[in-house]
Amino acid sequence: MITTTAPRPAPTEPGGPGSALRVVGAPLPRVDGRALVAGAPVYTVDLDLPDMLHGKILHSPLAHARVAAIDVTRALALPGVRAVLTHRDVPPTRHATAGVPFPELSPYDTRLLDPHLRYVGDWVALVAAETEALAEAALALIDVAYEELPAVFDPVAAMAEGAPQLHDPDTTHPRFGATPGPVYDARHNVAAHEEIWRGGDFAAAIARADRVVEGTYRTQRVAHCALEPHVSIAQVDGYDRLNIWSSTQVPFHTRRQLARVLGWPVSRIRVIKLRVGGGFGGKQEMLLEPAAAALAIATRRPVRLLHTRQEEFNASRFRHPMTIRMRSGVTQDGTLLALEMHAVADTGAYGGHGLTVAQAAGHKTLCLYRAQAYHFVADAVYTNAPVSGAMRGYGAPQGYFALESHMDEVAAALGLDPLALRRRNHVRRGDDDPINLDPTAPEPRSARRFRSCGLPECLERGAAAIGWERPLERGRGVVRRGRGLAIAMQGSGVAGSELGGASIKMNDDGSFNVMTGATDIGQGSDTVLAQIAAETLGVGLDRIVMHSSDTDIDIFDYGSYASSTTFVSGTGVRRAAAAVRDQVLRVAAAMTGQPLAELDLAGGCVRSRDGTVDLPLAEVALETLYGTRRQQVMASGHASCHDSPPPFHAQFVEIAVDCETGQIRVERMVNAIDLGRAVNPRLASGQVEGAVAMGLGYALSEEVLLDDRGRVRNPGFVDYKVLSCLDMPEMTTILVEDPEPTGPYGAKSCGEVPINTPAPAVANALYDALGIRVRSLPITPEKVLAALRAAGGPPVPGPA
Amino acid sequence: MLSVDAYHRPRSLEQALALLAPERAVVAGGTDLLVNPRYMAGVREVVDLGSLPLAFLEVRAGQVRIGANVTMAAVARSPLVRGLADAILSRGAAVCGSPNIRNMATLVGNVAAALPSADTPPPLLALDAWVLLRGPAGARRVALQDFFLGPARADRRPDELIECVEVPVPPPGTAGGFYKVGRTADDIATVNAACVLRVEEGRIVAARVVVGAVAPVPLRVADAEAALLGRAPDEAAVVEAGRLAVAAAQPISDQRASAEHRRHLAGVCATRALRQAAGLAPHGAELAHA
Amino acid sequence: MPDGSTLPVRCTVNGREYHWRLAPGTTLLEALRAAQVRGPKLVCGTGDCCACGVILDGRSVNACCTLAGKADGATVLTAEGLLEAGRLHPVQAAFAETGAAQCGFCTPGFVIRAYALLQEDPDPDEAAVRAALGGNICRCTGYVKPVEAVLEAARRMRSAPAPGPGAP
Repeated sequence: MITTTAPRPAPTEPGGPGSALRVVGAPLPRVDGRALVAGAPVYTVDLDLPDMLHGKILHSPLAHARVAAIDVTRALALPGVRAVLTHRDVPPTRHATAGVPFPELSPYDTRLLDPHLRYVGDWVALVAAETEALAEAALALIDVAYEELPAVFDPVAAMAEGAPQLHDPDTTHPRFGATPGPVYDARHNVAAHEEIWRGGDFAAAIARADRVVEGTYRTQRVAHCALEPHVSIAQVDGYDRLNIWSSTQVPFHTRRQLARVLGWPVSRIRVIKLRVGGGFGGKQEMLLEPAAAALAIATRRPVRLLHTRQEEFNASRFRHPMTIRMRSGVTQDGTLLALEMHAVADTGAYGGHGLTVAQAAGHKTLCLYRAQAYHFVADAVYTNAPVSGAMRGYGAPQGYFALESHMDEVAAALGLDPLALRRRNHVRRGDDDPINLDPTAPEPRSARRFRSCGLPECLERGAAAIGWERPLERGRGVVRRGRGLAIAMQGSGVAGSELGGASIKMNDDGSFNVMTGATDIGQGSDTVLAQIAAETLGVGLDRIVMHSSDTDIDIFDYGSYASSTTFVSGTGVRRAAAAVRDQVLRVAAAMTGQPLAELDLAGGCVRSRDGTVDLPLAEVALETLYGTRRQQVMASGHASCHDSPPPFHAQFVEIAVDCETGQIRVERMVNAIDLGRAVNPRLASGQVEGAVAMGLGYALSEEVLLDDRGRVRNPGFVDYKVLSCLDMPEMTTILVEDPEPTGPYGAKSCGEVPINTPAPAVANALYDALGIRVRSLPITPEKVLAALRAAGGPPVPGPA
Repeated sequence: MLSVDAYHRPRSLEQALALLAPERAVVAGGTDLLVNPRYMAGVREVVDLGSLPLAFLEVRAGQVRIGANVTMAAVARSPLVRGLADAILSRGAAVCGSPNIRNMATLVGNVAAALPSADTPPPLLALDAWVLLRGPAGARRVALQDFFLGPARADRRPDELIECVEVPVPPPGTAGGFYKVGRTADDIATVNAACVLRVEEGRIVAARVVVGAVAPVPLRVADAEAALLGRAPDEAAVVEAGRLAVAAAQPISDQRASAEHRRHLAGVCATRALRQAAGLAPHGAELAHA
Repeated sequence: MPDGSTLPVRCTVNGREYHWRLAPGTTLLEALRAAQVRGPKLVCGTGDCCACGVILDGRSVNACCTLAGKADGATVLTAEGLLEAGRLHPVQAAFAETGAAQCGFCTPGFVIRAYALLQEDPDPDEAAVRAALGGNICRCTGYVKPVEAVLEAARRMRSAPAPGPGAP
């Protein structure tokens, strides 16, 4: 099994004078790599504060209930128990927990502790005790009388008249409740709804079509399985400020939301992120922080709240299950005229990410194809299931499973090569986004023009690598082989949103501190941002000291989600570094008497074009700190996101199917991604490989199963099957660089887009192998065998 | 953290036997005890066998004897075990958990746990293995086939421990097969199967067919064994045996698979294991996750 | 709730001797983390991910489902213990340089498994590496670079063999 990364041309500044890049584009080791491989105690779970208590949460055993009575006397009497909090003891403020900007596009449907319990795992009470075991023991001593309510687990049933109502209408967001846009229909459990029409007359476009193809696709509930569970430590310090150390993707959003929940001013709250052991969207959420804070405030001692793995499966966040209906109209030659998607998303008990994830199923996907008319409808529906939230891809994996399976069905209906159909219809460089509108424009106007699009090259190189034109040895016996492909795009940050960047200051020895609110959760943003700073400052990576992220110290950042960090925070870092560079050069010009325009930074020195000046940065630093031109060389830079340029991804797979057991083995996989520019090709290919591995689990093995009372049947790695290295195909990853003019050194993003393709690519390969179409994830052996039976039984083995 | 009040480390078999009691759990590797609460019901103390001289893996009087402290890893790599019927027990041991688990978990522990989905009981049953139990009244031998009583239930009294498992060395020419299906490569068996065949003059003269995870205990398929006797080891014979395995299976539906799927896989796994033993297919050649 | 720390355990962890008195049901992982040995991580607690992997008397095991009593008289090696005078072990260096660590939470367990494999088999092929890592769950990398790192470490150790700490 081999991985190849495409050989790269010597990187140059896009559009620049051809000056070669030194640090950007280099496959450098991570700046934090040494600590990670050495097992250093750098995570929140490794932090012990003196006198720290341990918190535990009493979770609802019922899917829908009211707390009729609760008595904590026995729990409090247990020696070593320091606090037991119920809904009577904490502020009842309604809020949203989704780690998104203010004002959240979310219903304020959550209370820290709510006597109305809406899923198995909902919070009933909080305990702090001297040890974890004591806290656990105290949970069993809390006496609760539950009044059980009828529960509903199916979104369609939840929308029907007479279904149990989960939320009150007055949870409507104060800003959006009474206006068009996110509609919220409490009586029918619809947390959010959207319907859009784009392009021309949809009905007319359908009427003009030679063929209309329809299909319904289902996706399952899956778990992030970040190896570090959610963990938060809260402490009220001697200055009466609340300090929170948390494994989070969104320190600044969390600070703001904590302030609301607790009724504390933002100025008295500090959120600190250490190394994070994986997030994948599960930590784009304020989760344990307010509970830890409430316990710390109540006890005036540090409190740690740490999820067990079982709690991760019972009471964290999940990918929204969706049912997606597709319909499209095409001409006989394969030109797409009309494209329609209707997505119903199960947002579970709370709707923080309900609207935006349901929207994303269409908004991040339908813009991949040119059509004359589009229609998209999305509903996010409350059920008494565990809470859906953000997860890598953010609605797009669901949408792409439907869209890219559907495109293959269209190709099959027309007798066209699936690759040819996509080539005919996918968007091109220079196209305007046909779906997403600029929210700031008074008249409907596309949110963005695609200024870079390496998708044609991705398709060409990917097809060549898999041998798309070569006949496949399909097998004649029990094992049959097939090939499939899928394509996808995503964004780089949220268009019209985002803020991120860094402040940079110079030290005595000419090294630089880069302080950023961008949150490295394992994807390597500290390294990539350090590379951008180093490149701009003409120094090696060893001269950059990263700090991220602490809301007291680092500049504001929306956090790590929506593939924003390299593009948004990276642009901010580049601006900060450019401003620092300017300050350094001004000091150097004064020191040397050379004109400013003649000076440049390279090799850790200030150099003049004529070669007469070669001044080490340390000398400039000493001059500024102790000499006659005293100043702290320091600047900050920030960026937001205007139009979120999309990365593109094409994936090709070859699978083998055992027609007796129904098992699918993915044997080969080729990934070709246009990421604008790989600031660090090794980290970038790592992002692709990790995303497709998670996508393969989504395709084949992963599913959070609920029983008929809403309890998770497989709350652990024993029966929630994350793939291992033995399940992985031979993998080839090709980095295609079509530099994005608005990105830092041409970079877009790469962390999410590849997760979209494995599920449809595998489904398409299964169709290619056996002519059976599985429209529901995961594609388990049982579904394969059922499809084979429906198609008239397994294929008759031919001569060997 | 196990909720127990005492940890005993007997230095001799006699000390160990004196300690055995219903509220005391016997620990060899301990991996099941720590992760499966069903084995902790009523347990207040643990008795760690680690210091006892039970790490033997030897041949004595025509039996391969595997002591209570022999790990899965040691079983999987033992040349003695490899020599038994095409290494079917080695193969079962080699797919039991991950390498780290196999370095700690023991074969005897896998037997004592008495789970229908375990990977070593089918090969052991196919090899006619015995369990040697020792208690206050002395030793007793139980055929493994009679040892399993139900999920996590076995014929071991609370004052007994399993000293070793004994596997009769099969006659020369005895062939075996093993097949496992899981959801992923590293998984508990959805269904597994092991078999042993002895063929003389073109006819099957001895057959064992065992299927795991399709009944409350690892299932000897007596009908299949009977049907194979006297037949040529050909495709028709092994397919017929697979059909009988389907008929014998009494699986449950759970989070791993539906009963119907398991019943179907009982046939597939039995047939594939038998094909290996009959020389109709190479060992482990199918598209297996195991 | 028993919290009598009654079980004496004497062991050597990463070259340092410990005399613990533990609650009888303490796992080796709990004992190590309480002793500030934080490389091994609690991830699943059921032996299904190997993030808590340590070398116990020469064998790699999951510390989360090993009773601490099993370590009495034993030698334990964790990822931290592979460092020699602050220098990374070749396995660790290869993991750092190939990008095999992303979030890094699983990495100490991978490093320990890789180290154990290379003690047994200094020249594994890719299939052997995958088999050895088959129980180690990583959610970040898709395993491409961890496998590459082990093969690279094997090459480096063969060209400059040096017995690692705790090697038999």
